Amino acid sequence: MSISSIALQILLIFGATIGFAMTVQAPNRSLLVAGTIGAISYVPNLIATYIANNIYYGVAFGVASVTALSFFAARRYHIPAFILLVPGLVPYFPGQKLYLMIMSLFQFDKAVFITNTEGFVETSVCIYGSMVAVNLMLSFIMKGIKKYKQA
Amino acid sequence: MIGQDRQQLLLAKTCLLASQILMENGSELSRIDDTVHYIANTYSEGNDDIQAYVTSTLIIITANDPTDEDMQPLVLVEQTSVKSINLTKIDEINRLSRSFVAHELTLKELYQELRKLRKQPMTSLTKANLGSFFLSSTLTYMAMHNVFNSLLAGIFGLLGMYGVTKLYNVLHRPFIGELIVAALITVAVRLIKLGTPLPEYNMIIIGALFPLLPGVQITTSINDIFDGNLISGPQRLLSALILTFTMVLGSLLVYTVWR
Repeated sequence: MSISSIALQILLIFGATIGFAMTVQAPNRSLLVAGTIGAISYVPNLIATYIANNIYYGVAFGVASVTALSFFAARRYHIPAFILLVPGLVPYFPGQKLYLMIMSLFQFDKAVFITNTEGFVETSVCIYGSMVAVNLMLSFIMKGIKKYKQA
Repeated sequence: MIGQDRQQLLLAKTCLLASQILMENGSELSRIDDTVHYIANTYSEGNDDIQAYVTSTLIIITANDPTDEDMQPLVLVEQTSVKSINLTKIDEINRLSRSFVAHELTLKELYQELRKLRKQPMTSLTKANLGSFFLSSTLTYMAMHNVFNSLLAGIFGLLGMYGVTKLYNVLHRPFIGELIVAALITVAVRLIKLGTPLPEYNMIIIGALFPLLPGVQITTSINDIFDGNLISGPQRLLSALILTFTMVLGSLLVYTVWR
């Protein structure tokens, strides 16, 4: 993969993240921040996918970066983390698998249904597992920092 | 004592209104709980006598006055539902509750600001349509590496969002707009395919429907489930799945009639 194609992908993710933020009426001041979080978090996703040769590692690292960046950007810009997190997760949302899963179910195509269900469930578990793990970790870290500062 | 009861009632009404606005605009439940606690604690420190019980269809606020043993507990109940996803309103509530915590607003002013906020539409159809275009075209380009197909997906995504919003304004029924729009997009893509070769045209349909997929609802439902809200979480998840089923059903109707 060339540097120009990586740059193009990051630019497209930036556009997609801002696009989704606009569809859910995110405040204008959060659009650039959300787009930047989406674009930056795509880099760990690409690196992890390349090293592990497995997209699920990429998804897990990408989502972990989105969660962590949203958490810190929320504190920095006083924007609720949820507003930054939701658009940032767009590149990882398995919309295509979800659509094909239901489509093949109605068309009685068992093989395609099983493949897409497997992909949808695995990606979802990866996304939400990573999100919850990082959220828990960050809240423990912040509590630790607060205690350290008080002491 | 009567003045104190009135203040307690105003506090409960303010918490109820804030919860209602947050719920109607797609907030996660932990944010609603936190907002109620911030408002109650700022009004009087350590105030644990205001409690909120929130599900995706009902909000119950109970208030007690610990100094007045004769006072009956005050209970406010309001029916609610997620009307549309509007993250700007969630941000506005965050701003107002921060101002109240910083004592820049009194309780009465906060209540009035919340009432004004609830009445304001704050939804820009142009913004949503443009967002849909960007989202559909960029994701389709990433999947297909074809400018024409991504432009098609973008245009259908924009028209789909416009159609769903307009249909909801006319019908006031959930899911029907998504069903009709999914069917129309499928018909339109298949009509174009008659004149121009469109390999993997399914990807264009998926790209165009992506802005309508319930990404926010799924994220909030999972957040709610992990927070232990076992009523609202599964309710929202079910609603999101029904919405996705409806959209696929719209496409399937076309595939069944036009083989």
